[in-house]
Amino acid sequence: MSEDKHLLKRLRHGDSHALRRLYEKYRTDLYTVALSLIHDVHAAEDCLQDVFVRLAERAADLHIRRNLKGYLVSSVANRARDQFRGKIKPLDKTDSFGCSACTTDPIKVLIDREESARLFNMLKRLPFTQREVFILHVQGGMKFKDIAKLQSVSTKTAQSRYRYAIEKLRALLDREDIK
Amino acid sequence: MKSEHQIKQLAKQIRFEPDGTVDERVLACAEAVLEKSTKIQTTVLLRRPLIWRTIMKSRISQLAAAAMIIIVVLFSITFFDKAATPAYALEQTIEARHTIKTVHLRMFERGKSITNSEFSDYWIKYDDTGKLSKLRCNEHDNNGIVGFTIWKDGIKKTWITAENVVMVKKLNFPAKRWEEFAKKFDYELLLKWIDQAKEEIELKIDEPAGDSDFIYVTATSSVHKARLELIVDRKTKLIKKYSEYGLKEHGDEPGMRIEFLAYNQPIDPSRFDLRKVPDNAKVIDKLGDIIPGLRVGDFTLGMSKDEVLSKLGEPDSIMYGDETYTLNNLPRRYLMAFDNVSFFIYDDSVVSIGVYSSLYTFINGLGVGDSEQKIRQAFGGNFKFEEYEKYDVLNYKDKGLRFEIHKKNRSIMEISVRVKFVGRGESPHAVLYVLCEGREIDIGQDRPVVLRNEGDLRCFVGLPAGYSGVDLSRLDLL
Repeated sequence: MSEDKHLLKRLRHGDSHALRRLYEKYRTDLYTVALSLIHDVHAAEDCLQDVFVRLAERAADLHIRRNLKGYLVSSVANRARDQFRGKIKPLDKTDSFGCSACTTDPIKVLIDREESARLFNMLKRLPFTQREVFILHVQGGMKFKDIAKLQSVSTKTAQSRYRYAIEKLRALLDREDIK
Repeated sequence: MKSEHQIKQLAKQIRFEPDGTVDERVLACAEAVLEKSTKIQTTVLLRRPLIWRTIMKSRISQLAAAAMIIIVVLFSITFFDKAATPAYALEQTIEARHTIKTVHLRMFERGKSITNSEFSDYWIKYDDTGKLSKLRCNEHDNNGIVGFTIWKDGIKKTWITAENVVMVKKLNFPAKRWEEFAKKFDYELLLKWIDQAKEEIELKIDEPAGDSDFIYVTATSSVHKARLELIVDRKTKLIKKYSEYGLKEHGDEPGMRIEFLAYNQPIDPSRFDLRKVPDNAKVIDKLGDIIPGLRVGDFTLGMSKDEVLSKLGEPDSIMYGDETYTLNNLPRRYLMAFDNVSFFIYDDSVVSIGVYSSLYTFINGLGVGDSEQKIRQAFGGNFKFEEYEKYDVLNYKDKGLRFEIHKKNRSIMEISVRVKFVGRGESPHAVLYVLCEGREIDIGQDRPVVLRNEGDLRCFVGLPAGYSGVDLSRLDLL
């Protein structure tokens, strides 16, 4: 039995150690996905909290057939989308990595390559749907088929959005290189 | 120009860590919700048969919780608010509490009206030291009495009339759930809890002038958003009625209520027995014993898939390796997982039963959640220690037992019951399957298998009755 299956079983019985282990295992991945999607530290933290609270709340009748990580990443994406559509404030126009979300809060940013930092900053410029496909596929490890289901579009549309995202990021990175 | 691969690599290098305060906050919230949802989710174990819900609902636990709250309030009154009640000697109530030998009470669950026909009657007997010694609960609903529970000598028996089933369960085995139950009656522990909560409770005591028979006590906790109300008999100083309310924005929400119908009235000893149980009632001896090399509760090695399904219904998952399956699409071997147990099935025969719930225990009470040390003490040192990335294993082949141990806290995560390994010369072995360099070889019934390296052979060995019908003598080992 995989560790996740086992942990879920234990979680269903109210085992808080299982909850902690799941949190330790996925906190970085989920937080990264959330922050990459909404570029707001507090909103990303809320996403993370919502997802784990929901997991704890639904533990007893949660049955995940495929993989837990995919389920959690999808949950983050759903909440991030809500945040994005609802209360999140407009993203700032600065292109530096020092977006408000990342400099004013004491988060530990593990981006040690300048190019990755630039890329992170450029993600903000993508339309949300394209950004979502790109992040969920690359950072969240989700398949296009599952992302499509999440976005209620066809798999081809999800793949197109990914393609557009790549093209736009490529163009932005190249423009930066020229500068 | 960056390639798609390069862009993906850059994106993968983006990593953010939530800081420690976020971790604490998220975990605190999630754990609180988990605790709450686990308590509420009495249907946790089985969305399926009513019988399981009844077990987990645990009237005794509910009562224990109620009793704990009452005692907490009483102690609170005594120790933290003496000055507020010059006329009311609360210590007398505490003293009176210690004189209780028997009590008959009626409990209404949250949201049930006092006139509602859904309630539970309890008869409780304490021993000379004030500890709970016997208990009976009659559970009523609109159709009359639907369940009877008795508890004495560390054994709980529940007769569910609709199911015509009697559940028998030990309550004093060292599973955490029951330790908690016992602690509810530990005064020292209660005092510690009260000491921690004393700043949070606001008490009001209303002792009406004149010849009122009652004293009214209200304990409010803004922290826990709850209010408890007690009606105390002025003469006996014992509680007559207990009510709890949740403090909600839209108003107070009634919670559990208890009416104390009689104190220190003799209780017929036969009341603590289950009488009138039909002869044809099915008796289930707790959720089950783990019998090494043989069975877990009602589930025995060698059972068919259909026999398992007839007892447990549809499984939560069916898998083998990374693949998942459905009941309509089963491979030759697979793991079928349910809430508390899993079954490894080979050729439609259970060859291993996994337990990951403390509801199944060994006869000595050990089970999932106990420490590795206890297992070693109980089963000795004749095991093979196996180390994996996520857990360690104590493999008692000669006993047909395998324990998965948590890497950090060294507690038992899962217990597997398998066929006992029988040594050479005792009986012929049957080969279930062979892995050759990680690839399974279908040995069939008569086909000889040639293995060239010692490491190629990893047999799953069964009893003479065997699961494959091929014994080792048919193998050519070069």
